[in-house]
Amino acid sequence: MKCELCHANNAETVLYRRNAEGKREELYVCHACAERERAFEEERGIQITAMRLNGGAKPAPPEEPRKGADEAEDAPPADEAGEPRMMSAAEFFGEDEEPRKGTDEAEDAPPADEAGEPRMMSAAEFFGEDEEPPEDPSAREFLGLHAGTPDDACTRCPGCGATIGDIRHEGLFRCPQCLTTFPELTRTLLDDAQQCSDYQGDPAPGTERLREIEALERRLAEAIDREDYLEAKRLRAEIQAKKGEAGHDA
Amino acid sequence: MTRDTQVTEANLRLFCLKTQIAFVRNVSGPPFPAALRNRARQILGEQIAGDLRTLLGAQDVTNDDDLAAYGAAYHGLTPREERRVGYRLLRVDRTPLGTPVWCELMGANHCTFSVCDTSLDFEARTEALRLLVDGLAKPLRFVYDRRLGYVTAQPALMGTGFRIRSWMHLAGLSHFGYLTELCNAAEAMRALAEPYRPEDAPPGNLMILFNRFSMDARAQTLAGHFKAFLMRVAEQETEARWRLLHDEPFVFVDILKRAKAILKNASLISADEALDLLSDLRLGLTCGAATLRKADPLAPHWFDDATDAAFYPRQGRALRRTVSLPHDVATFRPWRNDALRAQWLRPLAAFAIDRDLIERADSQ
Ligand SMILES: [Zn+2]
Ligand SMILES: [Zn+2]
Repeated sequence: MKCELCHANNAETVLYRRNAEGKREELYVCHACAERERAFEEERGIQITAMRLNGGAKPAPPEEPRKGADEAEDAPPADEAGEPRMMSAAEFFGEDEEPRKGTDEAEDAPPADEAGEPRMMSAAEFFGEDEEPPEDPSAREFLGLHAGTPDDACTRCPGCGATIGDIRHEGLFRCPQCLTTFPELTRTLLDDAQQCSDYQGDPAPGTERLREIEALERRLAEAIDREDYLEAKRLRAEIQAKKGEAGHDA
Repeated sequence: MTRDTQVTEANLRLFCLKTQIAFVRNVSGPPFPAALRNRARQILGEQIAGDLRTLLGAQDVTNDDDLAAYGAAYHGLTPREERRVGYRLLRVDRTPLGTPVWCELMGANHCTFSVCDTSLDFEARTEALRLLVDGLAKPLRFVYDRRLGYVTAQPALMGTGFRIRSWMHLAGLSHFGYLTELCNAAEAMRALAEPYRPEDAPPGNLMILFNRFSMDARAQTLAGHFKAFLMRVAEQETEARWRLLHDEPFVFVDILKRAKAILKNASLISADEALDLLSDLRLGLTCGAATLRKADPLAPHWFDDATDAAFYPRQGRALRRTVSLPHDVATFRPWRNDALRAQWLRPLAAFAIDRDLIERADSQ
């Protein structure tokens, strides 16, 4: 094929450069054009790489511009407050369950300040240095979640500053504490999305024993209710034995 | 393809192009990405990426340009244009699953662990991936609640954080206009279906099917339910193709002859048109209505490679070195890719249409 810059010589090398929009572009060019282009680009401080055609070494691809290096500070938070990019599977969920990213939220969402501007954490908070949760995952549960405290329209989530309105509007929780702060809403959202708000999946590693004990305690209560004391006695012993295994898998 | 229901799984293998199994987890501590500033998202992403490199021997491939282009089509990863600030992509090569496990950090504490391949052994693979991810629960401190399971920003992912989705080629159901029914049926069977590209009719008759609930059973069980659903879809698809083959030979032959003519003669083929042509050919080959010796369009990734994002890095670049294009075409990217795509598909025009089918069509 012919060189894509002079259209006269045969293409001898591949040239990578950034076009006007900053997009990476691949050109097949002759050596002379490659040289000229390289000198020109270097003058402008742009990195370009070239490779030889026909069995030359693979070019080192020019470094992808650091996404957000420039956006990081000046992009308005509202812009990012769109949708957490879950997985490309996120598109799965119909409109009712998940607002389409960006578009309407960006405009409809109240200004970041009002919405309880996502507070910047201190470095310590950020890395969780002083709030190291205990190792046993069961100890990190959100106590009171099922206590049924009524949700309050004025309450802000202590973890992220979101109000019940924010979460309802977006259909997304902004932080794990949102779930404890608004237990009613949590149950509603889960019932809508999952037709279930009581987890029956795989227990987290280290919580199997606690789960088993819970199940046994339920059966114990049932046994006592129907005055089956023999069974109750047996279950109580089993629970004691299970509790005795403490630390085994915690 | 066969009509025997005993071998539905063999048929499913023909219709199911690939399946992605994924678990979503959040690292405890910070709020979810939406509530974080870009800087925090970046720092967290880098921090967790570092942990994953140490814990799993994962390789950071965020800056792999080609992978960013075809990763969505091949592995179900986040498309390049949807990557948010702080996004990181890591690949774990040595895993018990035999295929790479992908770790996507969605800019902050939100992690997705996924595998994507042609295997239909959903339950075993789900369990294997879950165990791998569970191994990270302690060192990474995933947010977990005994009553809710793994906590994520999205109610629809709460619980197991489990997502299984299959890319299905449903030319038969599509031909008879049954895709809407399929979507309704999916909902009734605890799954959901959506066209490959939601905004219009599915190019290539491709549909993505996925589980709807992730909270009320173990992930392995959910995978089993999903497989049962796919088997039902495969039965219906088999039925539709059978009907097309036997009741409408005239239509079937028309589909194949058109495909042949375009594959043989077109100079420019767009991505969508390529998907439709591949769909027609695949339909013919799986029904025994067409045969092709030289190429194997049933191999995985023909559809993927035809897409705009994946075509150039996977097929076009190599072709470009050997194929000479007219000047105007070569310098204008959409044309260039369409022209190269036509060249790439050309060998598929060499398929032969079953004589028996042609005879039946003629006598219809
Ligand atoms: Zn030149
Ligand atoms: Zn919150």
